[in-house]
Amino acid sequence: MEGEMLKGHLDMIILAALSSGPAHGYAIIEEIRRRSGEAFDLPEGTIYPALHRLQQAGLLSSRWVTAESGRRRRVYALTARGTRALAEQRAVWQQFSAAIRGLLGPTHSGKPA
Amino acid sequence: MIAAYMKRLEESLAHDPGLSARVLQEVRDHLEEALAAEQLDDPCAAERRVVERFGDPCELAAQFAPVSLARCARRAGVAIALATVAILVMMKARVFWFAIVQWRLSEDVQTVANLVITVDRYAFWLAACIGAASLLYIARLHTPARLHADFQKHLRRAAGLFILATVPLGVSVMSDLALTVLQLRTVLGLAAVVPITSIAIEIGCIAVIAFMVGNAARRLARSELLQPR
Repeated sequence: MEGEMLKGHLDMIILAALSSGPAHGYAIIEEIRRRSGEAFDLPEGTIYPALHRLQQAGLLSSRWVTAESGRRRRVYALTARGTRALAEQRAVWQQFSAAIRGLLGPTHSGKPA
Repeated sequence: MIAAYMKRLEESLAHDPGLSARVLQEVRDHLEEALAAEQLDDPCAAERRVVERFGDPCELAAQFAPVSLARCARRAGVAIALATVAILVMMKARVFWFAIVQWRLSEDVQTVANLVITVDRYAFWLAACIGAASLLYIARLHTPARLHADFQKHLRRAAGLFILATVPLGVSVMSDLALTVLQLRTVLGLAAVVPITSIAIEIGCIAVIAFMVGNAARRLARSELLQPR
């Protein structure tokens, strides 16, 4: 899928990936790949400015943890505000996709009403 | 190859050392985990794939610019608010102390003191109002994914508000200093430690604020330099 198209929805994609639980950057990328059936393949670094921005907006919280490998990593989680924002964005997206399906769907005759 | 990539990223984020330290640690962890998941039959090729998938470091640093600038602006706004509260507490503490030790200004300086008190009062409340407005302005500012002209315009306005709040706050502290000197002109001793300490704290606050606001204003005014070239 086009990178530019994805970037426009990156915030929603990240919030959705974190809806299954807290995760660090690499795990979020893996979750996005897995849940999109490998269709979403962004430059991996793109996710970090977005994570920092979403945290600044109060939609995510983060904390440092030490992984089993001994490396320190930043784990992100949805805040209550982030969960609400995701629900709102999901509703808007569903309305939008239903409208597009209505326009492009096979039942459309192409004749004006 | 990963080490060279980290070096380039560090150079690109050098404008914000606090953010840079956190980002570098996150990116290092990411690249090492990605490398561990790679086929390591050819380590150099594996590192190259990992770095390529991560993206260009200059582009990444450019994407961090709005985050960094918004963080800088928020810090300056919060610092002004905290300094305003600290200065108010010091002023009240000094007035309270003067009442306890029953120090009064002598008649010969009363007229000058009244003028300085008026300047002090108006300057302080003007600074408090502008400081609160700047904090609100920054709090309502949405950080975009990329730097754009509209966001930069808001940042410049925020920098202007910071300066407008700092100047009267400085005038207020200088007025406090003048009043304290008038007060301590004739009476010195152990009891003078409280007003001297409180005025020193006020001067410290305004010095820190002037430094932070100057730094933030320079960065916010020159934000276009952080865009990728």
